[in-house]
Amino acid sequence: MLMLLLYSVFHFIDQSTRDEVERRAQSIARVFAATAADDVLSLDLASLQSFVDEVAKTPGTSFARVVDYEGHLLAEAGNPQHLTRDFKGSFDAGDLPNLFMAQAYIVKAGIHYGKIEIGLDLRSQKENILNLRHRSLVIAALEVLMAALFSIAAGYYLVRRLKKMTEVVERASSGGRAQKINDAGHDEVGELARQIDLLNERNQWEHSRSDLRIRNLEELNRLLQKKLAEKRDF
Amino acid sequence: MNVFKGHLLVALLIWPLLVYPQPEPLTFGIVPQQSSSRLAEKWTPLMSYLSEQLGRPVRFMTAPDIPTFEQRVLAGQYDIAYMNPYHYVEFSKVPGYRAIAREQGKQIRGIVVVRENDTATQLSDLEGETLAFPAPTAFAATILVRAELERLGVSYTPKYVSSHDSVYLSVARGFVKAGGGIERTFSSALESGLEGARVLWRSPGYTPHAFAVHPDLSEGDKEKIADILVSLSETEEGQGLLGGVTLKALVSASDSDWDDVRRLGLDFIEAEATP
Repeated sequence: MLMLLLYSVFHFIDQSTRDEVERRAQSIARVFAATAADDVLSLDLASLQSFVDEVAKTPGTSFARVVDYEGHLLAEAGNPQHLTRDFKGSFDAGDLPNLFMAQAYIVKAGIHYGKIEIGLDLRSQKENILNLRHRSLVIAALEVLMAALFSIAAGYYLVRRLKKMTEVVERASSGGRAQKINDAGHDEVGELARQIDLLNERNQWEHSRSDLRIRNLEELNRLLQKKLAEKRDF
Repeated sequence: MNVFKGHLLVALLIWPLLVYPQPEPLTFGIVPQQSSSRLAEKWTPLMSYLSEQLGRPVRFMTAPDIPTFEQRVLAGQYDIAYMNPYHYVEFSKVPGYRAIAREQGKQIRGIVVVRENDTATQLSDLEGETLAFPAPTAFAATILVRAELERLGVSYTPKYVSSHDSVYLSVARGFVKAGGGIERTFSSALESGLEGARVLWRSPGYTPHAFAVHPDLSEGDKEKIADILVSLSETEEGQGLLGGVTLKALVSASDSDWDDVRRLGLDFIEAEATP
């Protein structure tokens, strides 16, 4: 059950991280496209390069690239290795990639004037997710261990009380003098022990009454025998 | 065998596309009077219409600022350009842009604005003062006003404050004695709450902005483009496109239409531009 719960949690974390990464990347690309539109349209390459430089320095951003409507490179900056990779906009259902790419178009009145491509470096995010998984697993393992220890302790405590009750009941049923259980617990087992103690007390009282009656009967019988014997002597 | 036939058929169908390359796009440069995005939104529908009519892509282009636009026009980067009258006068000389169209019946005018309580009654009263202008090559607000001051021999110190609104505010708040502007932006500023400024002088009207083509463009292309522009006002679609770029109907234009601007004598601007 716990494994199922963990699997569900990890699956949810993966899915929400993917969605968040995709949403964030698209937002950045769109904002970038809107901001860079004037520079692209006016071919202000110096301003565009400064802007791309700043974007590439943003934490979590690996690279930024701007191309015109014919695919000519206008400006780019960032991780040189990542810049050489072909654009890939979505990722497969497996693990998150180290580099996630997104793009947005500069469109005015339905005409495409250029394209913005960005790459997000997901390594730190992946590391965080891995740490989260490890922590969850450790917490789950500790929880299992604690549950096991608690169960053992609880079982031992319960068995010890039940054992004592069994001994008392066995002794009582074999006619021996019943010892009081005296269980101080306030749970169901404690209540049962108290009821057994009450039953034993009642049995003992009944038993003592029965002895007294027998002794009285024996005395009466003895007196009756004596009277009969005296009458026979007459 | 059937597969081979299919491939052959596809190859034959796409062969003409490979043999005959797509026509080179025409570049249409627009003088940067507003942000590039705003200009692109406004002008792109007209570019699409021209592309459709010419059977050849026409791409919207502009520049980050007026000086860069001037450099690009001077370098002949635009096949077609929409430029102010001063630019046309200059770039019709080098690299030799040729006017093809202009707005029908429109005249462009400049004004001089002073404070409401200023005692000046004519331009000569501005002798020795500091005057505000939006930009050195703003045709109506700067060039027309400065040309008149030059003609009258009034000496002054020009101060460029980036926009028409800044000119009016500088005057109203007394930072400068007077400033150059145009009727439309001054009225707009008054509607927006500007107080304490009045018009001292209005220039005569001059031929407005020019649609011009690069000298390397063929005569056939030039005529075709001019015809499309001039006939815009004849259709509902064309009127919508003109309205989108806030232009009236266009008429054919010739180089001599801007002789009124040439007669202003704009040597003082060229002298200032020289390092």
